[in-house]
Amino acid sequence: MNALTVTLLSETDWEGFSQAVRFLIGQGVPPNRVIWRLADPREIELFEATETAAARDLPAKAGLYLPASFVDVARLAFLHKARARFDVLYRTVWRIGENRQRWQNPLDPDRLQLEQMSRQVRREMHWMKAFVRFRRRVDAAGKQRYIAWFEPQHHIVEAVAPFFIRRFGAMRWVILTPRVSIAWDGGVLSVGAGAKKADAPPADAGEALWLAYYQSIFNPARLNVRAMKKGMPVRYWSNLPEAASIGLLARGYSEKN
Amino acid sequence: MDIQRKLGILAGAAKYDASCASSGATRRGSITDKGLGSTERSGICHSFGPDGRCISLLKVLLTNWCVYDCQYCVNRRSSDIPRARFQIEEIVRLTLDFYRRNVIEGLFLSSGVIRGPDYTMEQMIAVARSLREQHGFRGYIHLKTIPNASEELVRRAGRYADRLSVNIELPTAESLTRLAPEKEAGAIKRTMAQIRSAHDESGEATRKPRSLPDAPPKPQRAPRFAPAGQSTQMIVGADGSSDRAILDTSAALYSAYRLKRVYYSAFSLIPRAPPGLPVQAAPLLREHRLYQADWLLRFYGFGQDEIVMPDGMLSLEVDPKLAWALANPSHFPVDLNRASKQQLLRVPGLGIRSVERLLAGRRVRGIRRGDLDRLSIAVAKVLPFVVLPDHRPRDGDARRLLAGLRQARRATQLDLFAES
Repeated sequence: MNALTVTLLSETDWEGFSQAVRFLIGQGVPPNRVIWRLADPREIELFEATETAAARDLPAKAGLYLPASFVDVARLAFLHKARARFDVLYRTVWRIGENRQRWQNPLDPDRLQLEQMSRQVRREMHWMKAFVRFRRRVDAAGKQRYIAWFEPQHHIVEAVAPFFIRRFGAMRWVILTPRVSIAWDGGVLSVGAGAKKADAPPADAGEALWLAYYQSIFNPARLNVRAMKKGMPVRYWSNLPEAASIGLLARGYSEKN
Repeated sequence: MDIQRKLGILAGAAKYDASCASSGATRRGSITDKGLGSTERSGICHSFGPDGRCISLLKVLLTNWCVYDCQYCVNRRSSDIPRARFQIEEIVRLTLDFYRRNVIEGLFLSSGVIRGPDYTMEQMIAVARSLREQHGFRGYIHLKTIPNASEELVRRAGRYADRLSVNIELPTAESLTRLAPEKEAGAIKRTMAQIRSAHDESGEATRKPRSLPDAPPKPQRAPRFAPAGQSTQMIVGADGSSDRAILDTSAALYSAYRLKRVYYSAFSLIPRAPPGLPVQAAPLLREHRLYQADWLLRFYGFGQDEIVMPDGMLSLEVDPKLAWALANPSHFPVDLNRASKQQLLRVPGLGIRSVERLLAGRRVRGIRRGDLDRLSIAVAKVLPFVVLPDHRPRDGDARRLLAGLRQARRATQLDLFAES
């Protein structure tokens, strides 16, 4: 049997992926015969040689039942940045089909890998909730919008959107990221193209109060840079306005001692 | 005085309170109306200071003026520091502004005592009420309760706040009398008891059985009361209390007032300290060990007697579980494939999560040495204390582990000096 290349619409095309998986399992296509790729023109040349199908065009066979605990892990692991996630997920489904007990084994290498991916995705979602920083912009008509720039490591933006809607339902806000942007107008969420850091507004006047607070709440008798970096990894610092004062605060401490 | 200067003074004065937790609130959002904010079951740290502490809430005092003269407190009456007082509206505006920037989960409001406990408490409640009722604020609110405030005010505070806390301040009533002559342990505990009973009542009222078809209409649901419960804080190292005495006090508080957390705050040197206080700050490591011990007592089945050393102190050198294992070699080695859950929880390096994964794993097949790496278990710490089909500790392994930890500690200390 030749290899089959399956095309997903985007990094987060879970619908297309599950449809394709049902088809492939129904046809008995083993994992080593499937190549996953994205509908990105840059990728097409690489896969010319194989038979290609768009995931959402594949007739899915009904009746694929998977353990609920697997689906929970899979939905999160699917948002991981590693391209290998598609292969690991399909291989795991295939192996569960052979023997349902495999997913019950917490020492199974595929299960361990998927669990690790889902943990990393969940942690990134948590950090996005924590580290998005809104700045206020008032347009010509006097309407306020809150705009943030964020650079997540995994494909989590759409998955975190409901959190921001629940929290800031009455505000108009936009979160810009390199891959995708989401905007809430108080009633509808729109998902648009990626953006650049320069598209987000600079500091507004009120930000100075937050910076003043950050500097005052620090207890210099307790300097602990390692714990700070563990809770707030350095890769986020460039988008956190308060991070600019960390060096100054820590140096002030060292000089006193 | 401008708002930025006030914020500097009143946040600076609040930094000695350790808690910044925003967890335990009932899950709620603001999507269905014009309100602002939401809470999840687990809190969110929106930032970390260079002191490694989570910044989750706008933590400020209403005022740092105070009629009391507690010796360990930077805001005591006799202290020569700049004073300030927020207007109610100023705190409300700051909270809402910070919240919309997504830098906080809510407000932790405390205060020096001005005029009297009731007056101060009323001012704090006014802030919470304005946030909730005028601005539809659904974020987290933690109010520090002033001991000796009237029960009626405690109950009102609990209607607006997710969490209430009263600081126990010091481990023993004698220390409190000596260092905080105007406070008394009786009043602190009375307020804790009021919070507990109001909390219990509201919980009971929401658990009424479903009414039958012909029953009279259901009674009104009791108003919510501080759904995230109450916590307290104890200063460590301002008096001579041993770790044993501190843990005993904690255990008594957990059970008498059903506290969610006891926070330990290592005594830090405060500007212009009066005589009668230690001249050295308590080691932060001692505070850390107390938290570890607190955890072992509450979640790992250890007793106070077991984890302190004969002098009543916790080991500073190694964590309390490892110290216990080193002092009790007769309990080891433990067979990872046969030991009970209770025994596994006592193995150094095994947390609750890893114990659960081991138990699940060994139902499928025998656990071997290589599986420990796969489950991301701290192998070096575990191996001296466990038996596996392909592993048996040699004599002296535990001693070598201790020596290795000592060496690593010396190396990090050198590293710290190199950095600064």
